[in-house]
Amino acid sequence: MRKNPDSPIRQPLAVIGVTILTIWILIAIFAPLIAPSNPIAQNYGQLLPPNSHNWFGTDSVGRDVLSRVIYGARITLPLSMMLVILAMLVGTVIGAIAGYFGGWIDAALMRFTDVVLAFPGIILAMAVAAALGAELRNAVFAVVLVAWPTYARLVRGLILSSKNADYVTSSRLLGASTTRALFVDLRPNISGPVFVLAALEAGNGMLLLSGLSFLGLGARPPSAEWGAMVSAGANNFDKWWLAVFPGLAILTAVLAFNFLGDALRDILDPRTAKALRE
Amino acid sequence: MKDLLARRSSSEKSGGLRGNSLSTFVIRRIAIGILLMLGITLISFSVTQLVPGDPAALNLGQSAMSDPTIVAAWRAKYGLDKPVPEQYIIYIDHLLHGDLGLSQQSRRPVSSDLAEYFPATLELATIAIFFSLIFGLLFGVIAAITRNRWPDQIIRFVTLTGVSVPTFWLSLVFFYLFYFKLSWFPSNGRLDPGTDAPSTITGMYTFDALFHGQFNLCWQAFRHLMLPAIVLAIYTIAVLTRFTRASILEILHNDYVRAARAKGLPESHVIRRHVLRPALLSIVTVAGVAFGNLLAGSVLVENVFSWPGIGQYAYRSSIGLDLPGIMGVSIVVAGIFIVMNLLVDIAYRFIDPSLRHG
Amino acid sequence: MTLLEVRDLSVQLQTKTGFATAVDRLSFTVNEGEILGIAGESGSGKTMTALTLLGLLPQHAKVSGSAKFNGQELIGLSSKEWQKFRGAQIAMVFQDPMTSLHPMLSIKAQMTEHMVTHLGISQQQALVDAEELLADVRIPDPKKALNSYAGQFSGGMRQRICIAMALACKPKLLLADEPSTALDVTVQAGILTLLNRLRKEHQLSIIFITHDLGVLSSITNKLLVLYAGREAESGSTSTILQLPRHPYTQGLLDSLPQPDSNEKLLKSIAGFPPELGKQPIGCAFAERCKFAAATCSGDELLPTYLADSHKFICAVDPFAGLSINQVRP
Repeated sequence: MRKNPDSPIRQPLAVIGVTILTIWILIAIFAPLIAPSNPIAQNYGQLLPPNSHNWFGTDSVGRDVLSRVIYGARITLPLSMMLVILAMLVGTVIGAIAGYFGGWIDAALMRFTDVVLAFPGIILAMAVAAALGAELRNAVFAVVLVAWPTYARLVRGLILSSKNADYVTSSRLLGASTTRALFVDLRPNISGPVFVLAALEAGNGMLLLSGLSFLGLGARPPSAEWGAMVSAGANNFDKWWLAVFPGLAILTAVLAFNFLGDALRDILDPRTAKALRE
Repeated sequence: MKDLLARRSSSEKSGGLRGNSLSTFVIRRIAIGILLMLGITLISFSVTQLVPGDPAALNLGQSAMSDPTIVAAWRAKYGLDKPVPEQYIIYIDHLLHGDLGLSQQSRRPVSSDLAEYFPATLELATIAIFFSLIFGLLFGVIAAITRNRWPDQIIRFVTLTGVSVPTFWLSLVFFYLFYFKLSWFPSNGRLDPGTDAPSTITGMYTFDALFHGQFNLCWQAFRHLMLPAIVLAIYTIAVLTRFTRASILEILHNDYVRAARAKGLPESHVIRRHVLRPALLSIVTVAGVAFGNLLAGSVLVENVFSWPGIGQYAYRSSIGLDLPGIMGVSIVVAGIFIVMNLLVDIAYRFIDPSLRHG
Repeated sequence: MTLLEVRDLSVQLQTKTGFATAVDRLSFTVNEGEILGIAGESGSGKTMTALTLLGLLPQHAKVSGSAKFNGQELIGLSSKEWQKFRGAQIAMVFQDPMTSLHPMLSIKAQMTEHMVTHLGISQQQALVDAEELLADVRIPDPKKALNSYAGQFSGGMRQRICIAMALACKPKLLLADEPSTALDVTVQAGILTLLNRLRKEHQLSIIFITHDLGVLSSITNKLLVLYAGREAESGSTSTILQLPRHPYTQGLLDSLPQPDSNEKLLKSIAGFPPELGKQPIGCAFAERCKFAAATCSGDELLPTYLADSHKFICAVDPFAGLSINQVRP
């Protein structure tokens, strides 16, 4: 006999995802307590391979890679959260306006969304980040700029399909305002899928952001951003520990989000899951 | 990965698949493609406006800047003395004439730069899309057939990891492992050092060498391609696997599959004919989008493998704040993406009988 | 001659909370050339019964009891053995012709694939036969139809194609699962006439599944009324329609539109059938039944057998001894 498909036990991926995320968040919060060394202090010999003192080795100026990876969580995690929330807000507002008002507003907003989606995301983000100047803040902005359309399309679709549901119509017949319809009657139908999408997209955003840093368009040295650290490893590729550990940090954090999002999507009812896939 | 599918369905919906006749559909679809392209140019133009500071100062050297006539002439040439809307018109006019501007780094027209670098990326993306299709289909079918049993669970885990791996990091790891440590693959670049490229037909060395009958050279070029192509393909393999699995499972739920089983057909026949065929169709359409993504994704791979393609070009342009360069790359890649989508949609209309007649 | 003999057939389906009984100890027989009608609301186990007879239940369903087809036991066949039966001996026509034809395979491909598999004939021969079959179900221009796709036909035409497809391997038993429900009334009549004609010409037995007693009355010889997976009443169609003994059958008949009735509103049965897996012990209909009494629940009920193999399961039997006019004013 099989276990109940809806129980959390049936979703080991979700459990793994939440566990990894919690660990990373704890690491970020307690970084000063956990890290064996200051992440920007050049305390050690240069380019030491992993040893009993420096578990992850040291970099080209003698900084402890483990400490830098630990402190890196303080940069990447909050920024990823921030860009997910921003993209979610922008996309949801645009999608809600398009879906709710319909007509030419919808047409114009959705064509705009199509155009942004037709752009190769990484390249548009690179262009924007480069144009604004290579800074972490600008990189976040660039990622938000390419990430919002997915939310907009989802929200618009959800609104269109539930706008004419009886309970919304009856609420409007009773004289409820547009805002009431949007925020009270429609919100419960939208928030679930949007949060699942956010979980699924968080990983993508993190990849794009660290990718920009890797390309030198985000965090700058001596910042301990993971993507930038991998980039430093690229310059000394025979010193494998420089790139491998920060890369693993990115991988596990992104993986945690993807596990969580994937499991959440399965728990949602099939119709919403389908809307998400599209 | 969402992105990929979102982009796919975008064109499908805006294309209005439920059009009346095929020609109306094609015309509408092309019109939408042109509109999208216009939107692309508008965005890329806006991005160039984002740059703080004086573009002339960025483009001209110190000595030239001190000469007002040179500065004025330069501004006039690029229409920078005109109001912004007019500048956009001039920009479009230049684009229509194939003029993507002047690269500030190479001091050459961006179009000739791209012509030089593009074939290398095209070759990489072509090999990568083949890898992606072969393995994506294979794993996707296995996952769907063994749904919720252990092969499916393993594939789910592996593909989720595949979409979570930072491509730039995987490039480094593969480079270190398979080239530096194990020497399974040849060195950086497209050919061994000192080897002459085959004379240009497509600019893709494997094809050119094959065409000239230089089989050793073709093999060498292919071996150089392998490692970056595999790294580039991994994300797409994972996405296609998941897409294949989802489409097959969706088709399996259809009444017509149960009806086929009710006819007493062997299960393998039902799967091959009634399930895989329609699934293949939707997978191939996504592959069109995936190809566009591979072209763009090359940015994160080419650098590590010193692959002289548009990805590396875009990278160098963005680092050097060479906006014409990077906008050139985005316009070309977006254009290819739009054209691919257009072709896929039209092909879909032709292939799918339910749309052809419906 | 008995073609199909079903004894104590039970089906349990896997649900989120465990196994639920969808079909509960059903017994019925189908003779050669006979049409058995199975009636009941949705969820009453009609379709599950049909799928059981084709071995097409979900993988984790549990089946017990016996179903003998021409003397051969069907329950417990391996999937290979099922394949020999399905389509060849027992065929099925599904409810929705709009979704049961493959949209991307030509009619030709779908008509002939199982003929080649089951009959071992060549593709050419299969094509010739397919054309004949399509003509037989009154598809205009069968040659052209063979090269067409499902999307090019109306619902009624598609259902005719589905019927032709089901009959392609000359099965002895046809399971028709609400084959006319999804269609317009006029088209419905055409399909019913067609099935009845085919039954005579092909010496076919049919199990006709529907919730519409009106449809069943016109073509079936025997009726089996199901409620919540259990038998409520069975017997010859004419007997049951004239003198139903189970309140549920009565309710179904009352909910049919009566052309000569003065009443403006259709009667309906109040309430809903119990959820899958939540059937009570005793009579599952009791909570909706206006005649319900204390004897209805708690214990297993025993069937009452009447003349002419009329059988019903009701502890109260409110219509006992009434004449036709008293039951149906």
